[in-house]
Amino acid sequence: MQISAEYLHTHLSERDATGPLAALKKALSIGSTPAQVIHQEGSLSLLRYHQTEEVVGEPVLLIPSLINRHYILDLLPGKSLVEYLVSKGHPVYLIRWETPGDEERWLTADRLIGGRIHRAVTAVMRDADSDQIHLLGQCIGGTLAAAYAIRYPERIKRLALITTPVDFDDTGTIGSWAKAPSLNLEALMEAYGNMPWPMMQAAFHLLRPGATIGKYIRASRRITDKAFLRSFAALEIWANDNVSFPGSCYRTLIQTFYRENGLLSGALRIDGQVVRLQDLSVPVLSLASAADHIVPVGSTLQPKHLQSHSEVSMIYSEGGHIGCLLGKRAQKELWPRISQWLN
Amino acid sequence: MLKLEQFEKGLDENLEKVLKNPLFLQAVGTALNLNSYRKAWMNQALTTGWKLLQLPNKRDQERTLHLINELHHRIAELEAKLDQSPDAKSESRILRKKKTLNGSELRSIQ
Repeated sequence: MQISAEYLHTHLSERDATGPLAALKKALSIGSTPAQVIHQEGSLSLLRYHQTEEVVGEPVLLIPSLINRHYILDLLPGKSLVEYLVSKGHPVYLIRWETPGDEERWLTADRLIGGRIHRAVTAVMRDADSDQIHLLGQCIGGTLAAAYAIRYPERIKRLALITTPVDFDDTGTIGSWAKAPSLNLEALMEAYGNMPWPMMQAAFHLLRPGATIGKYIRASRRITDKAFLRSFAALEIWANDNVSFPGSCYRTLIQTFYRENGLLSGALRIDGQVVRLQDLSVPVLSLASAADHIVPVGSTLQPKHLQSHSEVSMIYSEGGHIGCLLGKRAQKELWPRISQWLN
Repeated sequence: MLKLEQFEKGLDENLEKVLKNPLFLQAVGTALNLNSYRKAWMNQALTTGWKLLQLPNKRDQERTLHLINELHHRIAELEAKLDQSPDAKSESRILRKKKTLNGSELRSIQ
């Protein structure tokens, strides 16, 4: 099988574009909505998806989780939030996180949000010739998006948070691990630099081992269902294809967010200013799911976190952390709602 | 199917109790720390070896690249400040106007 250079450049980073995984992604058409890289800085690339319909509204910048690959938002044709938004006429941009270089161990959350994401937003505004954009963040990407929207509200028209942790008081088993005093962050960062993805992945697999076993048993019963298998394989590829976390950002994630509940306590500073969740002034759409064991409902953004005059729309879903974003119900109800809300 | 769900639920609930247990977390944390100290020591030994040979080591290269990134950040900040200046804003308006004109020209050609 031959993989075009254009596909590699657009959909996979140079560091991550080799090996059988790249061929498998291509064969399954994972992340295949046409796009081009319009801005790049370190391990951040900004993709612009090709516009096929008449433009509707402000540009939408998608920020996926920093731990995972971006293509969860553009998994397969017909199962892609990106493809849906493009078909509805939204100018769609996406931040692709790539494997960070060893030097990015010193990349702080301040530099990431106030520097790289800020410049990516500027690039979107210039490219779309717009004074404001919409931000849509998923998981930790949403946490970064929320922090950015608090710090630079004049640039953001609307903010959508998909299963995003913002209140770290109640973060389930992951929170218990992150808050354990025996976890020595300094020793970890000194030894590894960036937080290695296999360590994070092992932790995620430990969360629900029963569900993992059950998932494979159920899949084996549908072995003849080609459409299901394709979707299952694509999700498995995504779930096992992660990126390491820049060291200094990981320290901020554990220390400032998890241990000090930074967005509520005001422990987070971006570009010299304290960032507090109660100062979020842009209209917000927040999706939470009762079955999400990675980001429990209590840790997602709720009206109680904001001032009384703030505009918050809540969506409560039933699927898991990814199911509520990609499931059939999400395609029928969530995606149209996001699209309408962004208009 | 029901048995499978019961198995999943039982395993996950019981394991969660273990995974949240302070004694378990203490043990895992200690093991992780010991492993980190070992790796950091090995890195340090390797760095010292390269230094003795008067060669740049991995940490030196990382620091240099990080400084380049920092310089890039500062340049980008300065560029942003320049863009905010009144002269740049008026120039940008002219460029936008030209872009619009070109767009209308293109439409008329088509």
